[in-house]
Amino acid sequence: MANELLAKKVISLKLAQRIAVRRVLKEFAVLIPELVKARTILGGGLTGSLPNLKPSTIRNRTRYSTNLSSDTSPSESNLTGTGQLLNAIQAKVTEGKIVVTVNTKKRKNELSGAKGKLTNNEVRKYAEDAGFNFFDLTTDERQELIDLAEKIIIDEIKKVFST
Amino acid sequence: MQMKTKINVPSSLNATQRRELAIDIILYIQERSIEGRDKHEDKMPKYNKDYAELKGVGVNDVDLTDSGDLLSSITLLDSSTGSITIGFPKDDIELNGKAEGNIKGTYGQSSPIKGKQRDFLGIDPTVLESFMNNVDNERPEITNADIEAAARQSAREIFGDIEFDDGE
Repeated sequence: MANELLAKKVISLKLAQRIAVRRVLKEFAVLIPELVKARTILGGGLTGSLPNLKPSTIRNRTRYSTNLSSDTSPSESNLTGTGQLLNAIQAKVTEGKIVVTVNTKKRKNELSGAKGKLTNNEVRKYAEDAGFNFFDLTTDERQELIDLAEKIIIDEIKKVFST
Repeated sequence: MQMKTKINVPSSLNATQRRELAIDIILYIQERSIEGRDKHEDKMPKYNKDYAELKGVGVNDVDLTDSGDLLSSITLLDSSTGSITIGFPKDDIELNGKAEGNIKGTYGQSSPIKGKQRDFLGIDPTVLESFMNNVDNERPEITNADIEAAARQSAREIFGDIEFDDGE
């Protein structure tokens, strides 16, 4: 009898969790790209600050400073020039998973104003090869999201059982 | 308009039994809707192409879950001898509107859109009967500690379901 009750408890909780988890996945699909973007704009990479920009890059960014996004400045290392790369981060819930990608659309234009030839994902790869690792969650971000997920799931399950 | 449904139950059920039955029914409606079936156990009409694309699913993947608010907000509204009423809180206009759109198939229009009715708020009499048969059985007590432990585990499992796809 005790086992039967335990089994019932597990089944009831699993059912209530199913809706809650869906809700978390939907919310996180919006939140995660925003989180990565916000951290990167502040100059944060996956394991600390993003590397400093090379003097030649700063010179180039100074030259085209009128084309720079308002989220950056010529010497600021935050993977933001025109702002296209970070705005290209997107996430979708597919088959119960969140898949985060950088879109593979050709960029509209480059900082110099020239017509873009690369896709945003190619620019991501280029940046990461140069040591600008940003495209993932940091340990702290993961923990914050786990805590948030836990809170959402508790609230959702309680909604059912406090009926 | 408040969306609710009154379900007749044996008048021999006491308040605790009606509450437990209501939880069983609500969980069942959530589960059944996620699986794309309506209150008659029939498959719900598929999504239109544009909506499915926006939602990132196939047209046949009907689950009435966008934010998850709709299904998770179904609650026991009233319990009295011989009946329970489940549905959406009266003061939540947005949720009731969303529910009405699905149940009547109106989706913001004044009249129903043909073939788009997804009436999820209710339960097939045969299924209800199977729940009634369990009413007298002993129920497990679900404590806050049980809920917190389940949530902790789920929250960690979700992180196995997040993938950063570099497209390579």
